[in-house]
Amino acid sequence: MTEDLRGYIQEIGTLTGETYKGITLAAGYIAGFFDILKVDSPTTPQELAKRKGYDLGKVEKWLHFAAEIGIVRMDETEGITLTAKGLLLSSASPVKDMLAFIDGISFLIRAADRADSTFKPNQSLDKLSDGKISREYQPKVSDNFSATFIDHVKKFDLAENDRLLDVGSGNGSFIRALCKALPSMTFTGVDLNLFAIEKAKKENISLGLSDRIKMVVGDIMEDLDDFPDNSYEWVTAINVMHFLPVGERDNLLRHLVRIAKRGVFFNVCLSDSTMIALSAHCMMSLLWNDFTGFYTPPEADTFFKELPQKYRNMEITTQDMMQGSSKLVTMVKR
Amino acid sequence: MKMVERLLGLGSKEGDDIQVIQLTRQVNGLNAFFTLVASAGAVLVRFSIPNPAFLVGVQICAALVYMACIVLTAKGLLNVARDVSIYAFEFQMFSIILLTNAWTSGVLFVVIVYPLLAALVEVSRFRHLAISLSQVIVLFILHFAFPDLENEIKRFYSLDATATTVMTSISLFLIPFISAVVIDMFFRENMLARKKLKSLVNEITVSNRKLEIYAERLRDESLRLQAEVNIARKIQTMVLPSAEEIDRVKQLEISCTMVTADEVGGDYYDVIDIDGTITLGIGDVTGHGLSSGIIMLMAQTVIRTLAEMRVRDPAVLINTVNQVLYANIHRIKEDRNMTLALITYKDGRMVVTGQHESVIVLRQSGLFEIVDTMELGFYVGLMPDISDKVGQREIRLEKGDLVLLYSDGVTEAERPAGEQFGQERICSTLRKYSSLPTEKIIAKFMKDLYNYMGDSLIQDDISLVVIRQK
Repeated sequence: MTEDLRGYIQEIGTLTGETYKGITLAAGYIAGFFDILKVDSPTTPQELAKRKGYDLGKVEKWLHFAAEIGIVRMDETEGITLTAKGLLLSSASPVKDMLAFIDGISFLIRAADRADSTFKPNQSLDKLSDGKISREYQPKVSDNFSATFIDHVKKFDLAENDRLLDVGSGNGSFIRALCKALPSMTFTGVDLNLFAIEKAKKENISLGLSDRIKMVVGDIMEDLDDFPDNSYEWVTAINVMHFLPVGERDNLLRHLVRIAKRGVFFNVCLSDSTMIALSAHCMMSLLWNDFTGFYTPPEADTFFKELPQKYRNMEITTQDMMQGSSKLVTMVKR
Repeated sequence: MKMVERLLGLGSKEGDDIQVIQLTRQVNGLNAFFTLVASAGAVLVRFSIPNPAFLVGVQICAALVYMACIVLTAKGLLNVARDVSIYAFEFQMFSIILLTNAWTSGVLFVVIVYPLLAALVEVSRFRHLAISLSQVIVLFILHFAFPDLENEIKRFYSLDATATTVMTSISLFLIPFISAVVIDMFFRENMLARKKLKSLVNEITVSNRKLEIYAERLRDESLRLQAEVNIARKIQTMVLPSAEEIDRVKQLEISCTMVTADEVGGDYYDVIDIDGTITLGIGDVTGHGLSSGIIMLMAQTVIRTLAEMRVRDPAVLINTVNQVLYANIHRIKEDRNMTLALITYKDGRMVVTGQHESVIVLRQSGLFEIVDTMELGFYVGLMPDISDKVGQREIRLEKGDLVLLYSDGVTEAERPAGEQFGQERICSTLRKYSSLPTEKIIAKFMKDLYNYMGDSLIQDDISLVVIRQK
C-alpha cells in the first residue's frame, strides 16, 4: 500500500468519524439534552431520561458519547454537568449562529436520506414535504441568526419610529425577533410564499405584534416597484441573495438601496469559505427548489470589488457572520 | 357534648376559613372556662371567707364580662372578644391579688399564665407578658417603697388570714388547671383543624384529578378535530389536477390554485382532458370539515367517471352528479349540498352549466363578459331532480381571451375594516395582469388579494382558475 493511499484511507476514516460524531451530537441537541444539562447544577441519567420520557439505556449511551468527546463531565458521586465546551451548544451559548448550523444538520440528513429524489430536477426536500421544511427550518435558523444581527444593528443610530422593511421575510420569525429587541420601530415583511405570510399573520396576531408588523405578499424580483423611494429608513435582506439567480442579485440590491432612506443590511454567503459553507452550498439545493447557490470565490471577489464603485454615496462595511461562512454587508447613506 | 360543640361553634359558620373557625372555638372555649371558674370562685369565696363582698363582686363582674364575650363572638365581633376576655382576666386577677395581701398574695403566681392565654386567643404574647411583669413591678414597689400604703389597702378590705389561705389554695390549683385546659384546647382544636384540612386537601385532590381528566378529554377532542381537519385538507387537495396534467392541455393555457382556510371549506375545481374535450369544474360544498371534503371527492369522482365515459352534454353531467350526490348525502344524513358549475370545452366553444359564482370572460379587446350562473342551475344534492332548473350558456373563445373561475372565498375575502374584495375588484385585478402568462396572473392576483386582506386571516377556501385561449 502506498503512502498516499494510506493517507486517503485515514482521511476518509477521519471524515466518517467526524460525520458520525456530528450526527450523534445533533441527535442529542434535537432530543433537548442541552436544555436540561447545566454547568453548575449536576443531574443524573435517570433524571434526564425521566424528564424527557426517554429510554434510560439510550440516554446513558448518548451521555457516554458526550463525555468521551468532552462536552459533558460525568462524576460518580456528583452527577453530570456540562463542560465549557458543552456550554457553547446550549441556549446560553454566546455563539448562537453556531446553533443554527447544528439545527440545520437534521434537515441536511433528511435531504441526504432522500437524495435519489432530491437530486432530480424541480425536486427538493421542501417539495417532497409539501413545504413543511421551509416552515420548520427557517425560524430555527433565523432565531439564532437574528441574535447576532440585533447586536450589530443596534450600533447604528436607530431613531424611534424608524421603519424597517425585510425582503424575503418568510414567516417573519426574523422580524419578530427584531421587533422584540427594538420596541419603538415598525416593520414590514415581504415574501412570495402565501403560506409563509399567512402563518406570519397568525403568529403576529397571537403575539400581539400585528400593530407593529405588516406582512405583504410580493415577489422580490418583480414587485419591489410597489415600494416607493426612501419609503423605509432601513431595509434588510437576510439569507436572500442565494435564492435569486446571479443576474438578479444586483437588481435586488438597487431596489434595496432605492427604498432605504438611511441604510441597507444584507448578507452574502460564501460557498468555499468554510467546510460548513462548502457542504451547505450543495445540500441547500437539495432542500429547496429555488436555491441558486452561495457566492463562489470569483463571484464574491467581483461583487465586493464593484460594490463601492456602484454605490459611491454609501458607506459600506462588512463583517463576518455564521463563523465566517457569511459576510454581513452594511450600506449606510452618507 | 352537643351543647359544648354548639357553644364552641358560636360565631363561626360552615365554609369559613379553617384557621378562623379554630380561633373562634378557642376564644369561646376560654370564655366558657373563665365564666365557670369565676362563678365557682364567687360561690366558694362567699361560703368560706368572712367579709367577702369585694371578692365576690369582682368574681361576679368577671363572670358577666366573660359571658358578654361569648355573646360578642356570636355576633361576629371575634376580635373585640379576644382582647376583652384577656384584659378582663388580667384586671380580675390584679384585683384579687390586691384584695388578698398584695405582694404576699398567693394569687400573684397566676400572672404567669397571661402570655399562655394570649397565645390561645392569638393576641400579642409580648404585650401580655409586659402586663404580667408590670403588675408584679407595681406590687413590688408598693410593698418595698410604700409599705404604709400597702397596709392601708389591706386594712380597708379587712380580710382575715383564712381568706389568704383560701385564695392561695385556689390559685395554686388554678395555675396548673388553667395551663392544662389551655394546652388541651390547643391540642384538640389543632387536631380538629388538621382533620378538616386533610378532608379539604382530599377534596381538592379529587377535583384536581377531575379537572385533569376533563383537560385530557379536551386535548383528545381538539387533537381529533385537528386530525379531521388535516384529513379533510388532504382529501380536498389530493385530487386536484397536477401542474403536469394541466400543461398537457393543448388548446388552452390553464393555471389554478387553491388555498384552504384553517377549517377546510369544501372547495373544488378540476380540469379533465379526454380526447381534446376538456371538462372544467368549479364548486363549493356547504359547511366545513371532513364531510365537505368527502362530498367534494364524490362529486369529483362522478365528474371524472362521466368524462371518461365521453359524456359531453353538460346538462347530463350536472344532473347525474346531482342524482348521485343527493342519494349519498341522504345516506350520510347530513345537511349538505354544493354549488357547482361545469364547463365543457372543445375547439373554442365553451358551454357553461350549473349554479356557482359568475364566470368572468375578458376578451382580447379588453371587454368584459360576465356570465351569471344563477339561472343555469340549482344547488347540487339538495333535490332528487334538478333537470328542469338546469340551463346552458355558450361562450365562443377567440385567441387571447381570458376566462376566470373563482370561489366565494375570493369575493368574500375581507379587509380588517370589513369591506369585501368583491367582483369589481376581481375584474380590475384581472385586467391589470391580463398580459401576463396565466401562472403569473394567478400569482399576482393572489398577491393583490392577500395584500388587500392586510391583517385579516383567510376565512374560507380560496380557489382560482385562469384559462386563456391559445
